[in-house]
Amino acid sequence: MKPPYLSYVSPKTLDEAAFLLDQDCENSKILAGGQSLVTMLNMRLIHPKILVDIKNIKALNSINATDEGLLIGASVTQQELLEYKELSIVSPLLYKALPWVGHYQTRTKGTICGSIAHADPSSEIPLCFALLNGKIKLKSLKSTREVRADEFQTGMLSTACKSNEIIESVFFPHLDSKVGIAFNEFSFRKGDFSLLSVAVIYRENSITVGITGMTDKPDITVFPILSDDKIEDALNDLAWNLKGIGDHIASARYKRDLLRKIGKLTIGEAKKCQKF
Amino acid sequence: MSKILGSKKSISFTFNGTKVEKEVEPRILLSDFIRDSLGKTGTHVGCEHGICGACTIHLNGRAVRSCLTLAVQVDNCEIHTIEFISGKYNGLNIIQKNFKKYFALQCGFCTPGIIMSLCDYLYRNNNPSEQEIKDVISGHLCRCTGYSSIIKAAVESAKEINNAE
Repeated sequence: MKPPYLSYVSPKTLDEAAFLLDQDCENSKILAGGQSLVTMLNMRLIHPKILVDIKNIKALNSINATDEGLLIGASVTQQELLEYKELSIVSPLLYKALPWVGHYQTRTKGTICGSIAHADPSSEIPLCFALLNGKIKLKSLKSTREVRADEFQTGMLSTACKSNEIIESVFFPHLDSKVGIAFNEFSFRKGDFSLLSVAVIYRENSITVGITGMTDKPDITVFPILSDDKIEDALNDLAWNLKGIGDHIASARYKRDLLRKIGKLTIGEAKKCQKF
Repeated sequence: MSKILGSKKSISFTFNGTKVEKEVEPRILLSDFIRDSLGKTGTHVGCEHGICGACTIHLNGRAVRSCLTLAVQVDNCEIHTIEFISGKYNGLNIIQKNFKKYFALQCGFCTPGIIMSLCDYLYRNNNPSEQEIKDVISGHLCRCTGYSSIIKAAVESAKEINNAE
């Protein structure tokens, strides 16, 4: 349970970080909060030779609310965003989802972008990112590109981010203030890996449901506006479509049942707070 | 860039109010550094993957897991551990006194971590609800008490800290 031998660098600018990463990108990893990375190092699941720590790059520690949405730098921690004074107005989805992310003691160090980069299939922030179809900015030594959420996470712990690229920032677009938003999840201990998370955006003529825990990446499904009993049928169909992956904690059947129950509860909550 | 894999790096940071300058291998965890190199064994090491919370310390005033932090990461930072808490208040502080009063510890292995979490959270938040306190304590495992006495001690501490302010 100790990290393997490695080297550590902490550049002061993003350009310098991109340069250092480019030297030996296959054997290097970007270190931000380290709440997933150091765990994986401790368990020796990964063996990078060089860690490029981005904590000294001041430009990456910014939260900007613009007319279009919320732009979050790569070293902004989950707790910093949760304590951002206008979060409940500028991004009610993140405001509702962030308290479910890890524990208080990991949110103080874990970053928003790091969670998206890690792409754990049960994570809440990748779910919000996918549900809002945000954009992520990737920087390499020679270029900068933006990737939309639906193209970013490619599967369990895998993303479109190349080994020579650094996540610079993530962008979450604003929603109409009239939409209803709700977030729920289930785990045996609050803050542990969730068995199932459900996020819902209730619009005037559609219900968008985002789910993690059933498949290897967040699943987004759009329903038309349905009556309560039709919602139960639709969620049942969705549960069978996604099937769910059983593991040592919960069977696939148990997860399908969670989806039916938590899905209905969350859609109901979102319906209550919509203002159409 | 260090050319030799694992070659030592020089770090300097404030540890419990004292400046520390040491050479450290990049792979050394902060929890091990505090215990082995600095000799302060109040910070306990349990699971080493962020689940149990026994190693919780303050990094720049915020409760973090020292087992998920590399010692090299705290260069130029401020670290406080459980040893600082009793030193600062000339004896036991409010939370520690209430832990004693409510029998909120038995073997004491998880206690330093929980005290560090509560010291951050309760002094930062006015009037937290019992549910909010439970959410903070959910980041810790205790195998003795069954938590109810810990929650009682934390709720009582929150009231006392509020009244004192």
